[in-house]
Order: sequence, then structure tokens, then C-alpha cells
Amino acid sequence: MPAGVWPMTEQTVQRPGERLFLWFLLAFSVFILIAALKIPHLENLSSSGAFPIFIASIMISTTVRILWQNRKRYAASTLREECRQVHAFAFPGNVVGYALILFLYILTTTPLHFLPSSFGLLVVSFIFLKGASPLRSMVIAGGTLAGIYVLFQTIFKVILW
Amino acid sequence: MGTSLQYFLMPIVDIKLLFLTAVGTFCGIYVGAIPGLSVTMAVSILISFTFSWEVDPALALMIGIYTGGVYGGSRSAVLLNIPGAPAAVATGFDGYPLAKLGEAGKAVGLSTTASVIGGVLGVVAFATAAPIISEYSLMFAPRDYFLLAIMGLLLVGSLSGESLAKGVFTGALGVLLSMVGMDTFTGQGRFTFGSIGLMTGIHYVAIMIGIFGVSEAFVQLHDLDVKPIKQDVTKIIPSWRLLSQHMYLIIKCALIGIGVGALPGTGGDIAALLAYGHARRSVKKPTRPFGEGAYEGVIAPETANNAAIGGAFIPMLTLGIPGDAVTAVLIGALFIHGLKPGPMLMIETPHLFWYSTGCMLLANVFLLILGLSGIKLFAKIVEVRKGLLLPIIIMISVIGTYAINNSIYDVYWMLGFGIFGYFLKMYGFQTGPVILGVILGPLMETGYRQAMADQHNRLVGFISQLLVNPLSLVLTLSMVFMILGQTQFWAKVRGRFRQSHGSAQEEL
Repeated sequence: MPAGVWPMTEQTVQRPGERLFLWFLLAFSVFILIAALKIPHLENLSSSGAFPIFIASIMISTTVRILWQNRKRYAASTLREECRQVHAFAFPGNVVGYALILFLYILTTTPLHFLPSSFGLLVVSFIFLKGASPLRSMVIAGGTLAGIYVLFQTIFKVILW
Repeated sequence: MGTSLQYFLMPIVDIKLLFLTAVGTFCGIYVGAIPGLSVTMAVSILISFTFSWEVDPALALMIGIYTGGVYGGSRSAVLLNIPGAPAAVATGFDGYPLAKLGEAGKAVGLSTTASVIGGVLGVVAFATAAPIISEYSLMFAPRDYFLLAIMGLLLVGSLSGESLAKGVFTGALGVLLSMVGMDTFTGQGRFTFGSIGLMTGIHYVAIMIGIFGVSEAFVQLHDLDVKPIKQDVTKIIPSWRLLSQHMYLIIKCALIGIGVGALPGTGGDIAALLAYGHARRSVKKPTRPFGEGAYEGVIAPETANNAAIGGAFIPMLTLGIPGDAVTAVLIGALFIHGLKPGPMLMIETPHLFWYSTGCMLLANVFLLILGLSGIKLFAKIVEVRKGLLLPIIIMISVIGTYAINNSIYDVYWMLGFGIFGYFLKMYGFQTGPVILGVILGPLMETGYRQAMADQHNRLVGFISQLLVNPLSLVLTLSMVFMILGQTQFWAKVRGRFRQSHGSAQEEL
């Protein structure tokens, strides 16, 4: 059995930015707990807010537990070092660039409507991800969109915007 | 009996359903085989497209994809040493060494036949056990559903990742997402933050597509240039002698698969790993050492992961509790079609049970045919550049999400969950529990609130009910053991027991 394939092995992988992400999750969980406490009519254990409070408490306790369990590993590197490494780990060029392309798509999809904005998304994505040359990208994007349009309009009855 | 047989044969005699099952199985094999595309992703995207269909054709397509997809991962594990799906991780341990020894064809053939035998045994178990459990499940009280749902989340949290706490967190997050919107008991808005749009909640299909589709596409952006190594594949069909020699192992692993699949929250990936471990321990004289191309190392996980499909359908249709992430998505699909999986499903829509059984069996027949053919096409499809594949997946995810309500806001949610899911994955959180939480959340909360209201909101009364009722007691104890089993205290006790056991044996 190759090492590390069984489930429930102790975490040994160093993931830059994990500590920051966990702190973010903890803050989010606390925010959720506060929001749950604000749900009106919290007069008994079966009211609207009782279960959300229970769930938010679980989220907080599990996040705290993960932070506590891995405290020594996290302490091995300073926050500054971690911030330096997190870029290559979680925000490589491909991911950031593609997220930006998707963001642009979101901005343009309503004013431009489905076909032009999606054609643009596919062409730019193919070129950016080095899937094909610009000309080939346009041909593939056109073919793909034509296929998608016919398939979804006729078989799946999806009315595209 | 006559009507049941009629429902069972429906997908076989109806050409349209037959065709859809075949298409589903075919697509499933390729979706499962392409690393980065998961069956859960495919089924969740598919829900949004098929919701305008009748339930029968939609289910035929989805069952086909599920069956084909669980198997499909093994092909890339054997031929490329890249498991196409988590359920095929264990298959690669011996499958790829077999391919390197020039027996790739034999490995593919063995994995196909083992998958089909496991799948058929899973269907038989489903057909036998589901009616019995369904009858018994009518006796379940709300508190039992509450306990079962918690067990499901704990199981998936503990077995599917590196840390129980991370699994429980993502499960709880899923439950939280299911609570956004109007409380069905009181009409009170929860986590809406004054937005009227949020009163109807966040559509679970948007969450599913984001968490499984878009997030996985983002993860795949990290290694766009990985090029698979091709293998020569000949002599695919395995000999009957080889199969009959391993029939006992196949049956044992199928039972493991069915059992693990039937547990709420666990699926083919866990079943395959457990079966592989079992084969290593129980097979005294393997064809080759394990890890170096033992046939048993391919047969065991492949039998178990496909047998787990039938197993996973048992709690799904009888209790409304998903056996794994794909069945969680399938429950969502049934909800969309106005059906409510659970004890009443078999009474209100009995046709669905026999129809699903027929579809699953048919999908296994197609799996045998398609699994033993089309290797050349397989090589071409799997080699499609990720730079072309990933944008198309994103595009289909966008259309699929938009199709739910014809709303662009659902697309925003989906993309948001996609990015959040990406970070969860990058930092070692399993995303499966999120979906299980979303599906199990309402069941869990309803069970809890009804049980608490029955006891006039007295905590002591609620806890005593968990201990007094025999069924609730069994479930409570199972849950306690599951939590205890993850603690350091338990690890110490077990270590001491082993130590004392070892020294006692030495003395003897």
C-alpha cells in the first residue's frame, strides 16, 4: 500500500495560507453565530434560531480544533513567510487570470447576452490556457457554442438569455 | 408482482429509455475516466438540464452516468496511472504496474468484469433489502432521522478526508446553507440579511455545480500540462478460469461494497480502499505481490466500488438519506421532479423502485459491452487538452445553473461557491460533506425540532428518548462510538490493548 493513501492519516502536508484561511473561516463562523442569535423568537429549543446556533457552534468549535491541532506546524513559519508562499500555492497565474476572465464574463454577460459573451469567454479562455491558437480557438468556440445552443435549446429545452 | 416486473422491464422495452441508459453509461465512462471530471460534477450539472423532462428518462440518464462514471475512473488509473475518480485510486495500485508489465488489456478486462459482477450483486442487494428496510423505516421516529443524518455527516467527515474536524466543518457548512431562507415551520427568514431574493434560499443545484464543477476546474488549472503515458492494449476479455478462481474474493468484496455503500455518507471510494485492504490481508498467495501487478489488487477495489452503487441506493430510496455524494445529488434531482425519497416513496410511487432497479441492471449490461470496447476512442478523448476542456466545463456549468430558474443571480452564486470550493479543496477540506449537509440539513433540522417539540422543549426529555427507545439507542451508541473512535483517548486504549495482547501472545 503506497504511503498516505488511507483515509484519516494525520495531516503532514504544508499548505501555505491554511492558517489564514482557517482564521477567515473562524471569523465567518462567529459572524454566523451572531446572525443566528439575532433570529427572533428564540424562546425555546425548537424555535427558528435554535438549530442555526447549534450548527454555528459546531463550525466554530471545529475550526478552533483544527487551529489548535496544527498549532505547532503553523508556528514553524512566520505570517510574513506564509504570505509570501501563498501566492504560488493558492494564487498561481492561471487561477488568478482565469478568475479575472470569469469576472469579466459576469460583467458582460447581461448587457451582451449569451452568445456573444460566451463566445468571447471561450475564445479568451482557450488562448489564455494555451488550449489552441487564436484562429483555432475561434473555430472551436464557434463549433462548441453552436453544439451547446442546439443541444440545450432543443433537447434540454433551456431558454438561454 | 406483474406490475413490478412491468416497471422493472420498462427501461429495457422502451427504446428511448434504453437509449438514454446507454448514452448515460457511455458518457459516465468517459466523464469518470477524464481526470478532473467527476461523476458528482456530471450528475449535478445534468440535473439542471433534465428538470423539464419526465422523471423516468432523467433517472435513466443519471443512473447510466453514475454506473459508468464509477467504473470509468479505473481505466485512466490502469492506463495512465491517473485515477479518473476517487473510487479508482486503489485500482491504480496494481492496475498500473500490470499495464507496465504489458498486461494493460487484461487489467482493463478484469476491472470491467469485476465492476459488472460487483454492480449486479449490488443491484440484487438493493432489490432484496430496500423493500424490507422501507417497511421497517416507517417505524423511524423524527429523532431517528435526526440521528441518522448526524451519523451520515460524521461518517463522511471521518472517512473521506485527513481530519474529522474538517469533514464535520464542511458538513455543518452544508447544513447552514440549507437553512438560508424562510423557515418552513414558522415562515421566519434566516440568514437573509434583509434580502428578499434570499428568502427562497440558495438553490442547492447552484451550490452543487459550484462546489463540484467550477472548483474542480480551478484546481485543475494548477497542472494544465500533465501529459499521460499511453499503453498498448490487447487481449481485453479475461478468461473464465481467471474469473472463477477469484469468484470468492469478488463476492466478499461485493459484500464490503454493498455494506459501505449502504452506510449513510460513504461511497465507492471508501469501499474500494477497504476492499483492497481486505484483499491484501486475506489473499495468501496473490498472482504477484500486491503493488506489483496482482490481479487481486484490481479485482477487489473494482468489485467493491461498483457494488457500492446498489448499496448507496438503499438508504437513498428507503430513508431519503444519501449513501454518497452522487446519491445526495440524485435526491436533489428527485426533489426537483416533485418526489420525496424516504419511507413513503415506495408506497406513493412504487414504480420508481423497480424502475431504478431495472435501469441499474441495464446500465451494468451496457457497462460490460462498452467497457470491453472503444479503447482507442478512450485514448483520444482522455488526451483532450485541459485548456480546451475546462472552459467548456465552465460554460456548461453556467448554462446548467442558469437553467434552474432562468436567473443570472444563481450563476453568480454558483461561481462564488466555485471559488470558495476551490479554497476548501486547496486547504484539505473535503467538499462532499457540503452537499451531504445541504441535502441532510432539512431532514436533520425537522427531525430535531419535531422530536424536541414532542418533549415540550425539555432537553432532558429529548435525551431520554434517545436512550429509552431501542432503535434510537442503537443509533445513539453508534454515533458516540464514531466520535470516540476519532479521539486520542481511543487511540491510546487501542494501543495499550494491542501491546498487552502482543505480550500475552509472546508469553504463550
